Amino acid sequence: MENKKPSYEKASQLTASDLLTAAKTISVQQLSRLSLPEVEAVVELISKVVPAGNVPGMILSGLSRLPGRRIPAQKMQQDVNALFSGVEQILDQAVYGAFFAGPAAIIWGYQNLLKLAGKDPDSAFPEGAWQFYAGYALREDTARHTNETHGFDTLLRQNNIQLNSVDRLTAWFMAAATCLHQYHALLENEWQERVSIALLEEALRSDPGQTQRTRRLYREWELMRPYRREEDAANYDYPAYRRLKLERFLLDVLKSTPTPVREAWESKLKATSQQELGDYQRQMSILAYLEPGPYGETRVPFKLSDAQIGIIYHDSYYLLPACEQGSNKPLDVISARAQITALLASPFSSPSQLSSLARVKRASLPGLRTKLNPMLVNDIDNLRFAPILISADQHSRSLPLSELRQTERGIGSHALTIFDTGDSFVFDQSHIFFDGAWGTALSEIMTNEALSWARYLSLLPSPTPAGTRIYTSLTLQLQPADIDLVQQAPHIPSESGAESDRVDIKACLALRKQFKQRNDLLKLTINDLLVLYRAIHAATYKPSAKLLAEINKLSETKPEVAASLHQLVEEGSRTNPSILIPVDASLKVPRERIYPLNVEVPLMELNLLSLHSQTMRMLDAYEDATQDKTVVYAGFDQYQRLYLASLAGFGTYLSRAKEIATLGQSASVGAIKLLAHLPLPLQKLLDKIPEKFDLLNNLLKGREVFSNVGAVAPNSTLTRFITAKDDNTQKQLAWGVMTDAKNIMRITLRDFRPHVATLLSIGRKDLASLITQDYLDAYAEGLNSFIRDLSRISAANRQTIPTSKTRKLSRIKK
Amino acid sequence: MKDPLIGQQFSNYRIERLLGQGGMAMVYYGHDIKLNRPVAIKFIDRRYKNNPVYASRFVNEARMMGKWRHENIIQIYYADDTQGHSYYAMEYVDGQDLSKVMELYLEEGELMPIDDVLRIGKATASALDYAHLQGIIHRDIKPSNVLIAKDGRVLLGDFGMALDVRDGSMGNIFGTPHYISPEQARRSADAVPQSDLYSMGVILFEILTGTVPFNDPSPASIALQHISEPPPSPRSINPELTPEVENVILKALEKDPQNRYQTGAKLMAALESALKPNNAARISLPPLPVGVPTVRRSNLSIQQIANREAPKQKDNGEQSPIAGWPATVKVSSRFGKTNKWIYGLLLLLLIGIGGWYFTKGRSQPSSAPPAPTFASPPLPSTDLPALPTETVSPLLATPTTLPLLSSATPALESSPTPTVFVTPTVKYPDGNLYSLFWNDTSFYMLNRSDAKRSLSAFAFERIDIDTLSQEKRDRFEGYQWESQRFTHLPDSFCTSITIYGDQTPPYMNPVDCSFGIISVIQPRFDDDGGLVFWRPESGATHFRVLWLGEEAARCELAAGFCDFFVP
Ligand SMILES: Nc1ncnc2c1ncn2[C@@H]1O[C@H](COP(=O)(O)OP(=O)(O)OP(=O)(O)O)[C@@H](O)[C@H]1O
Ligand SMILES: [Mg+2]
Repeated sequence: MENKKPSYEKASQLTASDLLTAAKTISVQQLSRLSLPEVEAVVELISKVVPAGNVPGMILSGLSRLPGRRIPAQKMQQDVNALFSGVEQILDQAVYGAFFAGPAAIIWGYQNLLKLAGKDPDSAFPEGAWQFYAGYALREDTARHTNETHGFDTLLRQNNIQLNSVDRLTAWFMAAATCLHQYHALLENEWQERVSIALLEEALRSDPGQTQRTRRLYREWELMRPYRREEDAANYDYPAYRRLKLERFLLDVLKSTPTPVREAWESKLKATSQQELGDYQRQMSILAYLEPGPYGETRVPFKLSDAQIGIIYHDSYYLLPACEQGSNKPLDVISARAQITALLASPFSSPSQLSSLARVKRASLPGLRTKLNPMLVNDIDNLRFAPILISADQHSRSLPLSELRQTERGIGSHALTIFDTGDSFVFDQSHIFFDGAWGTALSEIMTNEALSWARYLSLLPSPTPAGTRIYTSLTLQLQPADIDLVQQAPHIPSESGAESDRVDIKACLALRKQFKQRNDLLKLTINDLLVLYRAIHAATYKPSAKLLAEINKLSETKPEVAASLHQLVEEGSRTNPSILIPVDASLKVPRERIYPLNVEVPLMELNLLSLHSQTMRMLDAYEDATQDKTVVYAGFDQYQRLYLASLAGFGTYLSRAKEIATLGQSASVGAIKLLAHLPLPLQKLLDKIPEKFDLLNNLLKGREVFSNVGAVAPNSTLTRFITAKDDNTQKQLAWGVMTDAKNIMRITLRDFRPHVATLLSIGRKDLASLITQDYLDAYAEGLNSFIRDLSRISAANRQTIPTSKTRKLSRIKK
Repeated sequence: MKDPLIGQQFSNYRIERLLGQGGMAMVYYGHDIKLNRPVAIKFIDRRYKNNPVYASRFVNEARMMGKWRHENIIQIYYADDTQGHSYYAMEYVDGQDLSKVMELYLEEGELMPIDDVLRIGKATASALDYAHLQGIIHRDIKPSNVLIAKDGRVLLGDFGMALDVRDGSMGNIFGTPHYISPEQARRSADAVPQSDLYSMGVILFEILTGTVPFNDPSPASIALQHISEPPPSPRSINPELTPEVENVILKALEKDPQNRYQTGAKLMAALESALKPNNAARISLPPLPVGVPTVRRSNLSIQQIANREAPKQKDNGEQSPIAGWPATVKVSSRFGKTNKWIYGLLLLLLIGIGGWYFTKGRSQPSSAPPAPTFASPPLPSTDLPALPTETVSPLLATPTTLPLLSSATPALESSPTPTVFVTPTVKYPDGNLYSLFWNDTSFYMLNRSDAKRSLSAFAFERIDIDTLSQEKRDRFEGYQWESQRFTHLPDSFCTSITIYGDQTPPYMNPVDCSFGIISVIQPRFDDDGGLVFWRPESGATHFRVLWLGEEAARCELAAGFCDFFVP
């Protein structure tokens, strides 16, 4: 790593000077279709408020893939080959020039145009760029992650504990109340783990003897970080237990650390935590509700003693205080149980219909509020004090998560909704409060907390209902006039979901190993393979015969819809999707949360599709050749090298991009920063730019999300995960990937393409689902055979006569 | 013929009735009139009373073990040598010993559910590992020394046979031949920690097959078999056992201590993964939430067994043994119930090593009247109070079968000065009782009263001899224990201070705190912030307990235990 740095800087310098020349030739007016006075106004204002972006960062973050700014494919290939063969010189300056200079010139010119003022970029982001962006563009109902754990029911079953419905709900109520009480401590855990280890890694890096271990410290910790209290935690609550484990871990590392290093680390950690921890806890606290405004959400914090836990039962909402009256103490379990006994026994009131409001665009809620009936508004306001809603109504586990959550779930002003499926629990989490990783972690933690309570409750005698009720039931019925208003309000796009666990992850892992054995530079991560194949899938997708038959059948009654579906397929194959990958930014600075990375797989540039098929053809020919194998091998060998080199180039490019994103320098972050500094009216103005200005749009938003939360901890019972989508209507697909404890990779797809709404409107939800499922299945199956092909290609080597054994094997694998 | 001890009082303990008799001692049920709690009192048998070496060893060891705190070791409260009696008082365990539990299973033709096997095994192993760490070998591990409380706790007792390894050997064998390790059978002084683990292996063999590996009317012959015979294959007795389980048991029963599992934890880990090969998919439940009013901590099936006495209630179906486990196994009876063991020197001659003899007779519970506490019916769940916060602490509960103590019981001054524990300065003798326990790494305060006293009213500080250090005297303020949830210490709960950073901490885990610990303050070893007041420094011998700034009690640092009262 160290020796790459000079060449990186050199490349940046070189590129920057290239840019200067390039930028002079680009007319400012061509970049934007804003009128000149508008441009001037923007320039003037922005120059006052926008700090300098990091130009090399912008350049390096993958601008090469902007539409219409491509370098010739042939040139790219040459460069990539050069890159691959020039083993040490991963960052060949020449490649950089070609790769990045052209498109980067645009952004450089744009930034130059804005006369960036050179202020401290972070000063305007007390909560990091992502927090700003989330409140600004991840506010709708679709901007929620949802995940599922099965541990509660599985472990109770394994331990022969049967809970009645009162105790089932009480266990989760207590878990929720405990969660609220411990939330600050949990956030402190999160913060301390990241910062103390990052600082320690940093401190140890200066110590020459230590380098081996230091880079992996956080990984080491991740592997041992507990998500539940084990037997040795009988006397500790979860946050205390986890802190203890961390301290033990750190102590072990510190044992061999020289005292001065240790002391410097300690004082730095202390200073940092004094400065930042409190802010972080405030930023991430779920003790707040969201107040929708025209341009974004405001988080309004409230006191713990005011917090309620919302219970949804028979579609009606109830609020049960999380604390004993007038105190910060959690409601004691016995009272909670008695209240819940009474609640579940109460005759149910007429069901609420808040789910229709949940789908209304948040920006129009302030307006709606003034017109809806005051009773409803009043209780919607009361509901805001429940950061956690628990739905006791059981929802079928067989539904895809994206569909399962389409039920009573508040109106989206709160952090978390928990659904019971009777067999598992599903957690629906606002992106403003949770990132994918933290969200799944919390689900795990809450599940274990609920289990702990379940174990306790199972020891108690049967519950008796409370005499005095401290829960309130909310009146959230919509009058006909309200229903009209809600229907007229703008809605979020319709969605259809699909899930698949068909990807053969073992084969993926084996291929990675095989690649690595073949050449150290062939460093493709599982995620790289998934993203790469997503681009191939987009370009090659063909609907299954079953789906085609359905569409054809539809053309008898709705020819125009059927035609549009055919068009959908065709268009899809023509666009190379720009993929937004959330990269964890919290490791060093927790408040930064996420850096978005936009990737457009250079399929065309690297000519990957035809390289693949040609290499395969040559391989077949080589394997089938009966005589002069040497010649055939030479042909295959040439393609094999070129193809693998291109793949290696792709891997290098992605890992660089990720590295840059982690440093907070990706173009996407730059663009967010740009937005954040603007006064509101200007934000509005700039918000229109994406439609006019393809560049920014692409940078900022991408066409789809691809979020892989990785493999869960060995004892985890997380099973499924769907990812949040930001509010941009351009974004049409959201891919979520998670690998569970049984090593099954589950891929979920949320489909927001326009046909979904069309099909729903003609009552063909089934067809919409079929289309999404077909698309996802094709991805999973296609990926499997792609991996098989790659494995064959990389395994093949020079041999004049392949033994019958290898031949057989490769045939079988087909 | 009335037992002369019954009705007598020793120290604070009134002797009420005989619980049972072992090889060298009698165990009585008694009552601690001062702390108003039940106790078990073990009196050294008359035969040994006149052996001053043994008698003083008995008392000394008991005193030393009074400082131990382990969840699975019966807590010793007090030991003394007075009025011609050597005795110690210990925690009274309301339940049954493992040998009786095993008999009950045998009578029903069943084997213990795997989960219980593991739970009992792990508890015993953990207690042994703890003792071994302190340099003590138990030497008399057998089912009758493993007590299973009605609330499900598993406790190991009777370290009375144990010899401090540092002391060397008395050369006598007090062990029981069914469970004795080969090296102990040869020479008592050869016992090593792994000897206890061998005995544990025998217990596990017995639990899993229904019979002990070596059985013979002659104890000498049993001992000889332990020395020289390979144990029978457990699978030949219980074919349902897997080869993996068999391997674990046979390894535990290796003749050479070095070939056995070296610690109890390792033995149990191996047994667990053998008994539950698909454990990866099976995850245990997390512990109960912290700070809840505890009802019972146990798994039900154990309770059921522990509660089960003469009225043989059929299972109501809820607690069937683990699926896949044989419902019944035909096993031969362990040994004739009335068989008296005959001990002699035959074996001694056979193996040519002198200086040992069995002293032990087995008095049969079948001939003795059933202990009254066991005759009380099992606690039906409906008897539990609706609100656990109102639960009477089992530590304070008086069994209803006992005559209530009259208020005219002898006053405090008539009791002899305790020798194990320091008498607290009793400033508020009518006040509310709190207890303190500590060791090198941990300090605990337990509320034994039902009074709600603000934690911030307490403070503790060491009384330093060195006046120079007066200013920076180590001191702890009770408010530091306060949290959002707790501003006072609820009835029967503990708060604690545990020093963090020691590499080999035997942290204390006081049984008396099994209700819950509401708060843990954790100073570091290297920089404790002046909070650690209970460790002897600069010659200090006491610390004081302050109540609203005034001294309420003084406690001796070396005692490890102290009671005090606050208004
Ligand atoms: N702390 C206690 N609480 C309740 N019962 C106890 C306690 N300690 C011992 N007992 C009971 O008293 C009886 C006699 O115990 P004792 O230890 O004297 O004999 P033993 O265990 O059979 O043999 P050994 O003397 O070899 O240990 C046992 O049945 C035991 O269950
Ligand atoms: Mg005993």
